[in-house]
Amino acid sequence: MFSISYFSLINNFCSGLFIILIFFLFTHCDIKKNEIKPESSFAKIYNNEKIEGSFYPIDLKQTSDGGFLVLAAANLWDTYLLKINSKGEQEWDTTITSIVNPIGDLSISNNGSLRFFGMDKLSRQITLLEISQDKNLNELKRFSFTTTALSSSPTPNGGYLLLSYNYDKGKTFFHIISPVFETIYEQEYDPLEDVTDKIDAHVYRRGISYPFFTGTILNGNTTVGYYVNVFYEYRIALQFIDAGGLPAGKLDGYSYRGGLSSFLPLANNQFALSRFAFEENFFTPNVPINIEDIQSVSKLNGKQIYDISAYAKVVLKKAIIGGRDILIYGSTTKNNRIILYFYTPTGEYLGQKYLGAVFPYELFNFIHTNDGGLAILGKTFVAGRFPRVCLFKLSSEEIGGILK
Amino acid sequence: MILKKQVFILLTLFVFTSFLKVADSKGQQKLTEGDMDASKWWMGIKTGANFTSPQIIVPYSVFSGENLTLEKSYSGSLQNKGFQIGILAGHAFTNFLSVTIQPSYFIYSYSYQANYNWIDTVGNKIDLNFNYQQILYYLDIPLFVRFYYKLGKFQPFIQGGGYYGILLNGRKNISIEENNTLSGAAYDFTETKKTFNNKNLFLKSLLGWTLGAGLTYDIEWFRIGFEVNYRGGLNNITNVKNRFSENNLVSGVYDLMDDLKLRNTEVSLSVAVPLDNLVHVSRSGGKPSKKRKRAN
Repeated sequence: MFSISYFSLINNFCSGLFIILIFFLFTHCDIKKNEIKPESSFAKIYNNEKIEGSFYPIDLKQTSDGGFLVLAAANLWDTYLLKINSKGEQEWDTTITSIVNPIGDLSISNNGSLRFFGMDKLSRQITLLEISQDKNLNELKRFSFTTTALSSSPTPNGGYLLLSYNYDKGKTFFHIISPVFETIYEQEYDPLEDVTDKIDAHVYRRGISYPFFTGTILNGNTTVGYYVNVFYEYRIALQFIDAGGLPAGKLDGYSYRGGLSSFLPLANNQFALSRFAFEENFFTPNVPINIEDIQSVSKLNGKQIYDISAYAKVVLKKAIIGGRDILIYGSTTKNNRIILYFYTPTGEYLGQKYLGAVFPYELFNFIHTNDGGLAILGKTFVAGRFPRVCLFKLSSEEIGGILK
Repeated sequence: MILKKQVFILLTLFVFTSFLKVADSKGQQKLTEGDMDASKWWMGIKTGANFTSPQIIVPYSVFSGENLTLEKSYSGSLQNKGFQIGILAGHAFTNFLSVTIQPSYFIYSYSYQANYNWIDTVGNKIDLNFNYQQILYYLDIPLFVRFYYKLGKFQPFIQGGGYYGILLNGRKNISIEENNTLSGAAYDFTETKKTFNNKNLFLKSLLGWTLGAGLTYDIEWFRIGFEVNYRGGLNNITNVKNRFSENNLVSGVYDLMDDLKLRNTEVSLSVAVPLDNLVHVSRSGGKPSKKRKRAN
């Protein structure tokens, strides 16, 4: 016969329970740390109830209130502007049917308004517009040339680079526009063949979207040249122009099926770029290029990136995240997800991040935000059907967690 | 599943080793037959159902836009059934006041719906109804102070206290219904079901208070109990840092966790035995005594 010591039993029970409780309290005291600023991280889809409505994002900029202004095309062609607050919620949107074919880059004026190029629907003239954060639209300049804008970018002195296609002449034109909106330079590029179908497919978003882009090459604060990715002499090619406006070297693509998809000057004739060749994509995070040289893009080494879909848009930018200089490539994968690749400026791979799942998601642009994070602009097909703008915000901590 | 096993093994081992240690401590205080009312220490098991009604602190939606219904519609508590099972141990300070601790394995469940629709200019429309069910597995450790009122063998009581829960696992079931008149049919219906592990979307910790009432009834050397407790969560159980972390949920099924607290009604049955004067087992196979002596 044995007897049970209830005191010992209870003592064992309570002490064991106490140990377990203390263990979990120490390992699970996560309640107090359960805080995050709502503006630091979010994912949003800007929806409406119209089946016929379709939206194609173009560019975004962060506004002075910490929110964002998105430039997009509505119904393929009309100008659509969307104001988002710092937490990702829609503040207002507006569709401007009198201005069509809007293009990026959005640029910020001294008064905090945002500027972009579009085309006046009646006169077919390229127009520079400005919209304030409270939705007031102002036409700054209507240019005399009746061409279809393909790309633009702001210059460091407040002017603009503008690339446009003239259907009548069958040529692409590159203009440098001064800070007071005067055309101070013009260069034409002749493809020497009819590329109307390709331009139409690009402009009306009904086929391959070609990587037309422009930019400025700086040495410190001094402009040493410009670059233009354009149809020229039976191919797509990156043309260099020196600071004096004289054509310099170029990087030739292969017909219209191989060329640069993004290009970013780093420093001292070093560049980061991506290129496409038929349905393959390659990243070259750091390569020396003499802008006076003429060479083929296929001679540029690079790492083949198997994830990215054929002819996908590639956005390449620099950012300082967590005190580190980072190169970021953004694109769209073959299974329709947004992907970001992170490299050091010397080309060392740091990590990657996927965004979106199940339904198609496509990257259109991203920016480095004031809080050190990233805002990624994309398009998704809601419920697999309806094209809508989406915006992902990643905090610097989230990105830091991705980087090696 | 592995975690559930771990907890089960942990609890079983703990109780088992406690008994073994005590059983081996021969020569210690020998128990005598006594009165149920005179018992100070109690131990038993408890099981039952629970019904969850989340308290929404801040709603979140993947979508933003004008004229959209973005808030989710949460099901009533009777549709959010859960289950719990555990052990209880208590100490009666007087015939009217006791303290009990009840480590239990809790399964909470709650569900909500979100509806999105699109319409064209001639009235064709697509409705998507997402039904989400969250199932959460916790190890809860509640501590109660219980006040009795004696009515012969019946002892009604009220009790109050707090609990600390540890999230063991989580699961999310999603079903999607689609009503589509675009495809030419007057009515089209498809349904998709998906299941995700959602443990990362919740905090590991759960704190709360509880208030309840019940009744016990003594049968031989067992004390059978029935109780109903209302449990109010004190903290937001959503892990806000991981709210957007699950691509498949956020981008794929448009599910974004609201900030919320768990509110829950628990209904339980318990069986307890007095440890200090009723459990008296003979090594030679003798039966426990059924005699009961009334307290003075």
